[in-house]
Amino acid sequence: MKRAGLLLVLITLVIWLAHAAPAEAGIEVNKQLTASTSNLAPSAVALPQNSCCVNPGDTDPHWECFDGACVQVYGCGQSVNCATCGCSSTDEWVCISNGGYWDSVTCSCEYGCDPTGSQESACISQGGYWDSFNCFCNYGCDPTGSQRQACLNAGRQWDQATCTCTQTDVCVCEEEELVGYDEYTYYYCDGYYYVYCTDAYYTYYQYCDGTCGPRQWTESDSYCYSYGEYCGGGGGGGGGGGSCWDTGDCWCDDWWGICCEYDYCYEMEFYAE
Amino acid sequence: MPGKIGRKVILLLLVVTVVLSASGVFAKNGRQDPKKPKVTLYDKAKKAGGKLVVTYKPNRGTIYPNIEELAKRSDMIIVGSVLSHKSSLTPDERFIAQDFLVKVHEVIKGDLARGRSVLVSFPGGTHRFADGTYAAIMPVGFKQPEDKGIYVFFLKSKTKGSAFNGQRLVSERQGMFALTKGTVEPSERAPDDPMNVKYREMPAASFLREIHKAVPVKKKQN
Repeated sequence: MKRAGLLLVLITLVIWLAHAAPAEAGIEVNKQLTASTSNLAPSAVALPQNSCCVNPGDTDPHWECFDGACVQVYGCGQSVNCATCGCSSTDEWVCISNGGYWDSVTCSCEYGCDPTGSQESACISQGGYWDSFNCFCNYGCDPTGSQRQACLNAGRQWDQATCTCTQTDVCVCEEEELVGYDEYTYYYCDGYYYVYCTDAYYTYYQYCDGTCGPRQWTESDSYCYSYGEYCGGGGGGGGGGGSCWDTGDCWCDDWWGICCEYDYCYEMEFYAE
Repeated sequence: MPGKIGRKVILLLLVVTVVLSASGVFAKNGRQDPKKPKVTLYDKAKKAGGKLVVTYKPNRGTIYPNIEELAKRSDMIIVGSVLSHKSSLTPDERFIAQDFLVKVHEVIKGDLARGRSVLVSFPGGTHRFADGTYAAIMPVGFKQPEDKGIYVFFLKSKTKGSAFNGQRLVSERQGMFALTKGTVEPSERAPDDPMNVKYREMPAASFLREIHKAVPVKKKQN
């Protein structure tokens, strides 16, 4: 009887020891040992196997992903494939916020020749096509810009729209003159606050001698502001016609003051000045 | 017995007739009569005295609970900065759309050649007609992009016959997140919207990490 009791005590002690081992290891969990800053870290690194890990496949220490880096941590756990850790999102954001191009496959950042996009914007507004690889504005008929340059070097006028070099000398133009001004003011409730807007249109006239002749154009400027005057809660639901959104089969009902077309709906809520 | 069956058949026919008639009435109310002449924004602005301002409320019929769901339904996810924008009338002259030229800083999902910019279209904008008549369609409930701002766009492919010049957001209210200030500002303004609850004010880097979790990196095929 005594022997049986001793055996029972021994068995209990062995079981208790076996369960206590992982708990001790747990204290070390999340304590960083080594870290690989690249997602290209080896996926099958030889790790010291700890026989105390209860779950099959777990090792102590093991590899975990942390912000794109493969990190070795104490404690039992399944090791990740380091190749799946991705990139550091901190590096990614630094790249993007500085105007770079982030490649999430190679975890690399590339700053082009036009990080602010100002050259591209100017090119497109002039009707060109932006070649980001060569940082060049392509106007179609003169892709290299050589014709334009040759024309200007000869003291002639280059027409970007038609890609022609006029035979006459460069036109002499007078100062541009503001000949028209239209201003539209309005307000509306943006779902929360009243917003006051002004759209201004400036029409200019410029006289040029020679073949250029006079020219006239309009520029616009708009701005909106809010004093924080609350006008109602939350923007509400859609403009009606839920099926319109799903099927693309749209309708418009002026009598009800609701209009859905293609995949947009709006309420005919009028605002006067 | 045959009398009973006959009554049942008549009753069934009556029910069918009533249902068909009702659906016809609803269809007529819900659809525009094709014979009805189209009313353009110009017509409406003229009728309103030369200036028309209407608000536009996008549909909130579908609300996504998180970016995983948004990402699943997106054909393309990009991070980019807005270079410029331009309003234009849609071809049917009944609506105004704004096209935003976006310089792409990262393609998280979808195929886009490196260095290519993307045109993203949003409903709303202003238009002045040749005779000075003016129309404005102002979106409410969600924030539109601003020039020079940095945004994450969840986009769907351009559909054939679309009235918009560029690509559209997969969810008009939830499909865009501003990162301009280094933290997340969802375009949806409803404070109880899941996107606002989960991601508003989250640091930009953490948000990007969340998106990458939802969209595994696709290895390039050589």
